[in-house]
Amino acid sequence: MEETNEKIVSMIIVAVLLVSVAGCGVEEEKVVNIYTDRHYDTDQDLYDKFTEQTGIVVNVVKADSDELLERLKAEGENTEADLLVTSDVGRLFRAGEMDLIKAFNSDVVESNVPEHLRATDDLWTALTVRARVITYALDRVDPSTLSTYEALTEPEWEGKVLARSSSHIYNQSLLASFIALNGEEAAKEWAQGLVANMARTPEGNDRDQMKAVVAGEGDVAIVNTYYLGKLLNSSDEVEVEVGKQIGVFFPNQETNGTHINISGAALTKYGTNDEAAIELLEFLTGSEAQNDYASANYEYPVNEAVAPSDLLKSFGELKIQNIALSLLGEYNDKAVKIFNEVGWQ
Amino acid sequence: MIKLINISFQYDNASTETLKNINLELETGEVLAVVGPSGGGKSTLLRVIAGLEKPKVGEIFLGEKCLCKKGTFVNPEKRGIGMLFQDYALFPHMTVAKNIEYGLIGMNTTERKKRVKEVLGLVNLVEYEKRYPHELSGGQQQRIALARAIAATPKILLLDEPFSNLDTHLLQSVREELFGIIREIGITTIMVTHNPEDATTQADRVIEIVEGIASEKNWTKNNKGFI
Amino acid sequence: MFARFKERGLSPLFVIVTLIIVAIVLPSVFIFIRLFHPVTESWLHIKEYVLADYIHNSLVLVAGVSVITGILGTFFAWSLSKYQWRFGLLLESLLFLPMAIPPYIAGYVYGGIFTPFGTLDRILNQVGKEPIRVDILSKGGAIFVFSLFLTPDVFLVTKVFFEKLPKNIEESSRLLGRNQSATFFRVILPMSRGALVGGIVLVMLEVLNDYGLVRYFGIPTFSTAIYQTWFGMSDVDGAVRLAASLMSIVIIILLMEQFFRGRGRLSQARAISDGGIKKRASKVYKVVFYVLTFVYLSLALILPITQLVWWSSIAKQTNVMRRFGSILFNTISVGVIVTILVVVCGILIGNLNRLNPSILSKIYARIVILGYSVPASIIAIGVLVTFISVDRSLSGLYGILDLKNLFLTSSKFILIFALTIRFMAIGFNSIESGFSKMGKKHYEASKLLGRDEWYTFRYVDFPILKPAIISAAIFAFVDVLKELPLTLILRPFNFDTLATRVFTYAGDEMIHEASVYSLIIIGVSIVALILLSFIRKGTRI
Repeated sequence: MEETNEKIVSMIIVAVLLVSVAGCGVEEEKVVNIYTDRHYDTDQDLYDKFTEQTGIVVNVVKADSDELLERLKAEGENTEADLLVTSDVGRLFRAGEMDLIKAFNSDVVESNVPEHLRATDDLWTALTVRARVITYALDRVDPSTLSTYEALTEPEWEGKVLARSSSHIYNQSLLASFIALNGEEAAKEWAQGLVANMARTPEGNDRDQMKAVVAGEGDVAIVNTYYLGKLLNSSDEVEVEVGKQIGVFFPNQETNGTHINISGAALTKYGTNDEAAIELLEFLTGSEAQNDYASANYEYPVNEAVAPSDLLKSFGELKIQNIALSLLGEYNDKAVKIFNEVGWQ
Repeated sequence: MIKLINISFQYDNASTETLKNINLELETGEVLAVVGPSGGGKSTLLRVIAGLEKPKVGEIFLGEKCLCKKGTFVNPEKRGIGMLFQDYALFPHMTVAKNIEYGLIGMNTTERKKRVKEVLGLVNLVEYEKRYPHELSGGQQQRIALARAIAATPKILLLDEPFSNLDTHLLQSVREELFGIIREIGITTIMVTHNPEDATTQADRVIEIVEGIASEKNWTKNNKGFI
Repeated sequence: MFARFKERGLSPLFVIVTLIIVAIVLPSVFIFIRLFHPVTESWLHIKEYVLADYIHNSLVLVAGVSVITGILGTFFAWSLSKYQWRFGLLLESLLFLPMAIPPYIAGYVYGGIFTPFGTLDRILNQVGKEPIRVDILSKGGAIFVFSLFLTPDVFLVTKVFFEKLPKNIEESSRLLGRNQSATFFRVILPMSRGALVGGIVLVMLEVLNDYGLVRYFGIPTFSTAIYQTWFGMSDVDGAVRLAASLMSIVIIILLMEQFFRGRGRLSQARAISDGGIKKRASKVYKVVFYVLTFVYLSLALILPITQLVWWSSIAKQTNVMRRFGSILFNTISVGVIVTILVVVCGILIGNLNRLNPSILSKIYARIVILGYSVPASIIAIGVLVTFISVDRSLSGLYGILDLKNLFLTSSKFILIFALTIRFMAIGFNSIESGFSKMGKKHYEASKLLGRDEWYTFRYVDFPILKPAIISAAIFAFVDVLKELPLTLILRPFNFDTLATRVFTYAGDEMIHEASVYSLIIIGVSIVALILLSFIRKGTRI
């Protein structure tokens, strides 16, 4: 009895070791290696499509962006990564500061992506755009009472505003954009005012904020548009119902525009498959891929030849903040400090 | 048979020597009792002889074979010494037979089975072969431990407080029985005990160890005198 | 001291263990070096505005969770190892299982139950009642969730200990006129302090290092401060400084515990094993035990699994199971290899500590916990930097062998290494308590019966240690199954595990799809548990 057990166990061990060693064969083929913090299955679909069309194999490591940056930095000139993809412009900016990326120099990408969605020196390009907006309870809030992000700090909204915790990059970028537009003082005042008007201490994710609005815990919530898209297309009927009771308001349309963030990509400085990587960038910003981005994940496409999804169109036209996106990265640490100072958890 | 010359021993974490310059010689078949207050170094002496502790200085000879001197140290498993532990140290996951077979190295299966039967016969527990140690009484466990210790016919047997775990009313009969066996096979034996009665009734010679220093006592019933 | 080493000669065991310890320490050295970098501005900011609050939150969580898991874990362990119960074996296996549910997934589950339009709301709505608001995303809620899913850590460690506790100790206390509960509190509990503290330390570290659950719950803790410094202010040095101070505190606590324990060390109990004869419980005890077990299992197992099953059933089917075969294979192969390494290293270190106890070997035993005392992302960077410098120094060799530049860094080896040093503490904990109960006497008896080290280990030490080794293996395997940060950052290209799939979906607020993989993790854990208990049956002690 005991003996057989031991035999079985040792056989399993040997088998596992053998197979894992055997999986290490190396073949020569055209490849592009990606470090990404976008985790969507739809991204993988796009990479598969790219491989199908070009024969270039796409290898992926998915992790959080800051850890990927550390890994890139530690690997230095020995890195295998060719392309860095992040879902936040701040991280691309930081990669530039750390001298981990290089300009891509592609006419195709330049024609695919408008100038304000690329770095000035073509160090990185956006792949998709997401807007951070005000959502409200359709049954309780008259959209005409909404105007700007700043207006949410007025006394009339006391105890009615919902937002997630400041540890999330979307809030940090939002505040960074205010620093860029209005200066540090004004940004801090805004954060302070918003904390004072919060319906509860920040908890949960963006979906939870909208559910809390519908449940009546607050009247308005600051969220990214595509989370509403996900609610409305959820496989859970109750979530769909919740989504239907939410209205979307693009703030600051009359003033300096609604806050956007991007997900974007850049060539790594020491990548060795530049040609393939640029080809992939061109593919991802091209109309076919952009169409997929727009329809699958409720993000705004960056290629102006491609229309946003019907859902995004139904939210209306959007005037965006007129600032260099890299400023969001530059002011990120200031934003974090302000959040700490005003006690936005 | 066994000879200790100038043995001193000190534990790593102790500030003084536990054994101080011990000299001892035993003839074949002799039974020596080691008495003394607890903490005096009795058990340490057994452990040093067994090779479980390494003396600081001194030499040990078993017959002609040198077990220990400067630069030489024979590991316990190579010494051919049997030891009966205070709490028996029977292997809880093995049957009585497996426990006894454990030390029978270099025998084939039939020989081993035969030897197990033999020693079990010696301790009068033949029918207990298939039992596990926890299914036996304290006295039975002790006899199995003895059987195990002598199975491989060691040259010398060490007993560490062999009767401390036994009920008083059993003590005398068990003691008689144990030494009956020891005398029957005529094995050289060193027994550590805190009970002077053990020493006086069963031993040929008695030494006392106090604070690491040994001295011969003239206590035994059948005293053969000093050598 | 050195003279004695010289005299004894360096045993192979000592050399091997020293090498293992060096491997564990090396990545931490890369972390500690940064302590001496100049103080950064963001560190000052963190210290001024938030550190006190965050530490306070951490302490509240750690204290609450330690007390609850300590009581629950000890209660279950004592009851199951000393008393007869209906379905005792089944209950025992079930009580391990909550371990397979990562706390951050449990956080989503309980969030999903109690949030507006959550499961509770829907049920109340069905029966026509008004919704009840329970703010689960709070400190209290976090303590509740952590406690539920970390109790098995304490249960497992203390159970192994209680099972081997000689009956006569308990009996002698009873004969000395103490009743059952006085015996437990005045004799058994102090004796089992080592095992209990060992289990609770694991729980504490788990809570201290958690980032996923506290982030979702919106409770900033010490690890929030670490990540905020790193991610928010892009100040890696500052983050590492915080992590290093956390590490130092943990080490000081452990050393203090070791020191105090050293005095009252359990003397080699005369374990005349009683063959596991279990007592009958009194009526009151029975009621308490069954009610508590039922409530606990409902909250920690039935409820979350039901919720996960329901969520999985409405997951969009599109791509969820893509490449499932390779994901499962990756997870299990890495899990098995790391488990074996953890167990083998644990046995080597524990054995050294038992056979040649010295100050050095005691320090070794404490160092093992290093890998578990800081957030995993920080350890990952330490490992990364270590491996890259090893790779660089081997680059000449790689040139000859025609291997790529960062051969080790870009292979699975780095991941296996990192996971092994990370979970060494967990495996070692059980193995060490097994060794300390077993003592040396069987080893010595075997040597005197003429058997060498290896034979002794194979036929005496190993079988007696088996229960401890099995619980170490359970711990390590299940923990590797659900491990995230190290796998994320150190994995080679196109390498996914069950846990990384959970992460990618959960991080994207796709909890339905994440549930599918959470359930698979639980399923694999169940299979592993069954396999191990099957092996365990072969032992008769």
